[in-house]
Amino acid sequence: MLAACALACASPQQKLARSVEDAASWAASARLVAAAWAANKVPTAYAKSALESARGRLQRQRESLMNSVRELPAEHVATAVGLISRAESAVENMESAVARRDRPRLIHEYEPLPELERRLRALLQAARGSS
Amino acid sequence: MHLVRDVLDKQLLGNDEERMGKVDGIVLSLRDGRPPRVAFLETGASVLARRVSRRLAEAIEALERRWGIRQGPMRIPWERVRTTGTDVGVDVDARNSSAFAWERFLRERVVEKIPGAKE
Amino acid sequence: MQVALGIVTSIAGFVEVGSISTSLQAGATFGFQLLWAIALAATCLIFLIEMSGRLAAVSKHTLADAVRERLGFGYHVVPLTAELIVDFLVLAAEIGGACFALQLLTGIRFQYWALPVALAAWLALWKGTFGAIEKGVSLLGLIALCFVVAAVQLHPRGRDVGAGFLPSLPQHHAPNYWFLVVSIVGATMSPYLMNFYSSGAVEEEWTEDNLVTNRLTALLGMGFGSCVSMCVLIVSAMVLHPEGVKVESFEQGALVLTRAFPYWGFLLFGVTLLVECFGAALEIGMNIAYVPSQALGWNWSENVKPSENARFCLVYTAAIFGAALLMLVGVDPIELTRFSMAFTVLILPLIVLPLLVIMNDERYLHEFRNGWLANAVVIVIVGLAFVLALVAIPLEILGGS
Repeated sequence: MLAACALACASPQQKLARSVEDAASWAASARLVAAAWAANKVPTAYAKSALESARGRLQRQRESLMNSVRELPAEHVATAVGLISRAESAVENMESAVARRDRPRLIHEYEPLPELERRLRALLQAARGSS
Repeated sequence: MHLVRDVLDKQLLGNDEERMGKVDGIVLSLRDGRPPRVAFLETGASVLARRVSRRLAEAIEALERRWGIRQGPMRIPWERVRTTGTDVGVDVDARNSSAFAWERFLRERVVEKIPGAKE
Repeated sequence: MQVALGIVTSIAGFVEVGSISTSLQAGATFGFQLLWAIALAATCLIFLIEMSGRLAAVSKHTLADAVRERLGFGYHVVPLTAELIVDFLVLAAEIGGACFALQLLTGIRFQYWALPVALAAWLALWKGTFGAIEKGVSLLGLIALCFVVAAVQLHPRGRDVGAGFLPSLPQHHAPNYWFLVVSIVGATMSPYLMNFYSSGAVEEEWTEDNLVTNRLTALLGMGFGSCVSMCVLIVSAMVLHPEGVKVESFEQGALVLTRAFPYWGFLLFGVTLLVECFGAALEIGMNIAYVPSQALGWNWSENVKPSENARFCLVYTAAIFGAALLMLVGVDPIELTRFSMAFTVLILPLIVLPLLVIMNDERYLHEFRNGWLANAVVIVIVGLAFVLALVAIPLEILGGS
């Protein structure tokens, strides 16, 4: 019972922090997979599947944030949703690049990811700092 | 002899040291004016089940009779007990006894029908 | 030679889907901080395994035999049922791990591999003997040493690794940290390992002359096995942790070896996962048949043809195909692994407590009963197990996200 309460009582900042951290983790996953595929270290089937999973998880985090927008600190949510959407579309483009086996295109598509991750982690620190 | 500690739930070994179940139950015979004697040792799924639920035990015995596996649990007369200790050795030909009834049933009806069972 | 084989066998038993996934998660999220948990769990396991082996060698009875015989069916029915449930879940998780490895290697979704893997496992048990299976599992299982090589190649700082062996409090994600501690213990001290080891000792007809072998096998085998687990953690800590990747699926974990082995890394991960999970599935399959056979006193042995022990063989047949069914319907192997680790911890006190009685029983162990140290260790393990069992469920809810 204590545990259920603790779960429900996770502060808005904690919920935001968790979503942002998950999103950063999946964005980083996607980046690593793409880099590995570009360097011929992993097969195409795996890269496609892993990127699809990453995109799905990013989408889930974005939707979860948008659904709880009333409970969460407004200034952070908008930023988080924006960053995650951009990561999502980057991953989507990476997926099609892999499907077409277009390495130069892929490398171009994952360039924005490190910056997006960095900003997500900065947001995470801010969210943790204010909790 | 401490029956629960030294006999109940112990491994039964037939002639040839063959495993033939555990002592699932002990049947005492009550005699007028004298202390009870151990009449039989019992082994079988229904005996064990009776320690948990009488209904379950009856269901198992009904199933065993219906499928022709055996007519009730195996009883070993106390006179047939050779040794006690960590195991209970009994003077019984295990493989041909009722203790192996389910084993024979499953072997003939199921296992031997699967390729590779006998090599 | 026999000692060497025993050691290798123990490595294979240690490295399986639970230990691989918890080590990957621990390294990715907490760096080297949880090395102490693996070391602690392994130390406890070494003592438990040594006792199981000693019991079997001296009394010619396995652990399941002894619990029923000494404590009665009334007590035994509870841990017996619990162990069967846990073994079944872990078996399904191992089959799932093997299927997932095949998905990684071939691109074909893991559900399609459920029946082929189950069939292969069943065939190995149906036609194989205990010795042949153990030799095969152990030798193939040596591939897990690739993690040791990778860990060395990545040149972690000795000081950082050393610090991981001292228990420390996490800076963030405390519930997740402690949940991983519970999971590591659950993955390491699987109940099946104790009974399986004692069953193996009886299958191999160990006697009092094998007691030294038993000690060496327990110590070095579980010791090396835990080293492999620690290397999985170290590799994950060096490759995934700096990138902020938390391992929530084996798909993410598959990249860990690509840094140390640029060309072969992915393949090695897939093959290691496949071999270790398949080997564990064989061992658990055997154990799931050993446990009821021994509890109910049936004739049992893997060294005997199926037609000679029908009940024993039908149990593992039903278990393997039943477990494969869980994978067929798409249950996620990593979720199942997590759940079964927590469940293992819940029943651990029940499984370890009987040792206090059995290992001090003169009729079973004669002059080889536990000394004061061994008894003290068992009491500590039982205490630890109770504490972990109490916090396992709350942590699963809080920290297992």
